[in-house]
Amino acid sequence: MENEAFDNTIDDQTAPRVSVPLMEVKDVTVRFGGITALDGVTFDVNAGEICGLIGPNGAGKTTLFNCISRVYNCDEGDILVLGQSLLSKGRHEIAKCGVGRTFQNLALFKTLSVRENIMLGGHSTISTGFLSSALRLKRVTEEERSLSERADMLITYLGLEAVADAPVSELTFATLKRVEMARALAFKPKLLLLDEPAGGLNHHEVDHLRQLISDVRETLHTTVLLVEHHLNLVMDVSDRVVAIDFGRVIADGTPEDVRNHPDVIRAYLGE
Amino acid sequence: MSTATINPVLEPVKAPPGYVANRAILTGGSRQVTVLALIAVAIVLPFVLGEYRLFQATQVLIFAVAILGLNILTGYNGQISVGHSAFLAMGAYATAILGIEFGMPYWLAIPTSGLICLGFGFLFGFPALRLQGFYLALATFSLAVALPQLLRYKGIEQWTGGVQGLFVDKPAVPAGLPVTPDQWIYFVTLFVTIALFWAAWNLVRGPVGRAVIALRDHEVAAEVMGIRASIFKSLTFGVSAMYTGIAGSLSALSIQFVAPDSFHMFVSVTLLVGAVVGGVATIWGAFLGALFVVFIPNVAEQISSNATWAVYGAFLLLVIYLMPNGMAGGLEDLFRRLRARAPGR
Repeated sequence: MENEAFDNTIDDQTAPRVSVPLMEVKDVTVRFGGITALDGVTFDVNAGEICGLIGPNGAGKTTLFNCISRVYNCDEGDILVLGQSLLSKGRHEIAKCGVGRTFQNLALFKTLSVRENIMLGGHSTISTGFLSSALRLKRVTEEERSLSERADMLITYLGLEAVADAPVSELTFATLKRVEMARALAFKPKLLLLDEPAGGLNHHEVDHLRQLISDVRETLHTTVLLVEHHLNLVMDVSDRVVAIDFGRVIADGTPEDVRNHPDVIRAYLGE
Repeated sequence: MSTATINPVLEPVKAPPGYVANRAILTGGSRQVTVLALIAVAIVLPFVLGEYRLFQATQVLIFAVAILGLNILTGYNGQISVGHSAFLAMGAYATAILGIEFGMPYWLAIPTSGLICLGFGFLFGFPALRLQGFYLALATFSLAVALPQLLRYKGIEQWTGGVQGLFVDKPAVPAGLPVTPDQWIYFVTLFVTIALFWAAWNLVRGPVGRAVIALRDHEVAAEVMGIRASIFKSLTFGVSAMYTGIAGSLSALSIQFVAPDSFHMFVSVTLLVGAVVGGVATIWGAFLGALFVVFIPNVAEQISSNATWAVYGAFLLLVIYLMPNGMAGGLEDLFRRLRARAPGR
């Protein structure tokens, strides 16, 4: 079934061939005062892959995520998406570069409904300003309709129909995780950053998540970078896994390789 | 338009117990009918009210616009202002000075005053970006405290009229219309009020309103979704100042006089009272808030002329206690309860 609204494939001109990196993290270093949180981190995320990023607590996973989404500044290095540096962009421009993310501790708009949260996720695709919105010009209603159609599809996709118009403050944690996912997918990102999506979920819900992450790649053609503590989940869904510890990349390869890498075992189990 | 469908990947979530999907008390057609009926009443009003009551009705509309302006900023965007009397003053003085010095007709002076306040509000909004909560409240407070005194300053007395203030001509009734000047200024105010409420309604239920609320609820997430916080918050400040400035402009025209003392910082608190009592982050709550701030002081005085403000304070506490979501929220709850009890539903 060819699905226009869900087609996330990259335009022909910019379509990278297989194994051409969608995102390149180059020598990224971040220091907080005397602490080096990231120390020359380098790895690629290839178009169409699910890449897992693992590491013990405090290894620098979320710091890296925050660098990519421009919440933190890098002290050194560069982050490129489709050859374009993200570091020269403002935080509000990363969605336009094709990067969407979820947050570790949920960052939903609590007074908005599920549908409104998802529609807001598509904000980077619209051009409405104060004046056109106040006068309710035709362009505004058309943009609203397309945002709302996209939201409806994501609501169906993620099984959120029953609560679509509920303010998010009234919903359970597992449901909110789905809403965050839907919101991040609303603008058809090329790269989806998932920050500990399994955090706080039970067994059953983690199984759902596993299914969902794979399906997002298959159905929505979105490349995924997954930060996660739940190692089984990462090893199951990822094509490739990058392990970091003390701000450095210690292993980069197939899930099998990384699982058996001596440095990774040491990082997780100690000497 | 393709009717694209997609297969659900997850089993659907269940609605939480007691969840009511549609909470709007008026939807679609019945909302339009209600609004049109209210407008019809508002049009008939000046022909049945006496002179003083008509003046009060005009004041209610003016306060409603000013409170709506504050609500856009404080209610929807979460930026607290206790200095909006400054924008009321700016709008009023702009209209007076434009009329006296430049002979600008009132119908042009109203939007021009609004634009001047938009500019000032936007510029004030930029430094205010770095301030939050109490600190922003204090910054806006300083504006409200300073402005009346600045307006008395000798160096600009030839423009502002200093302590004496300025007299403003009452808008002339267009030839051939069978209304008094008081009725005419009421109609001008009503027209502007309807236009501004319509625009605010469009704003808050559209993409801009969503973004303004998102910035209040979680600024970092809103930015990651593509909203440029600095411009957006400053513009919200500007639009808010424009609304309140236009209210100031209308008040100068209806009272026919502006003076520094009319814009004491207490007026800012009155606007905040109206916004909260009416209902934070509601559109029509601004009307209810305006009714409260215009009429409750009178009611309080009738109850006790010695303890007017004590009675006013008691009223305020009563509303906050009985209707934690403001009068708009309280009335909606009441309406819903009545409808749930109505037979046949």
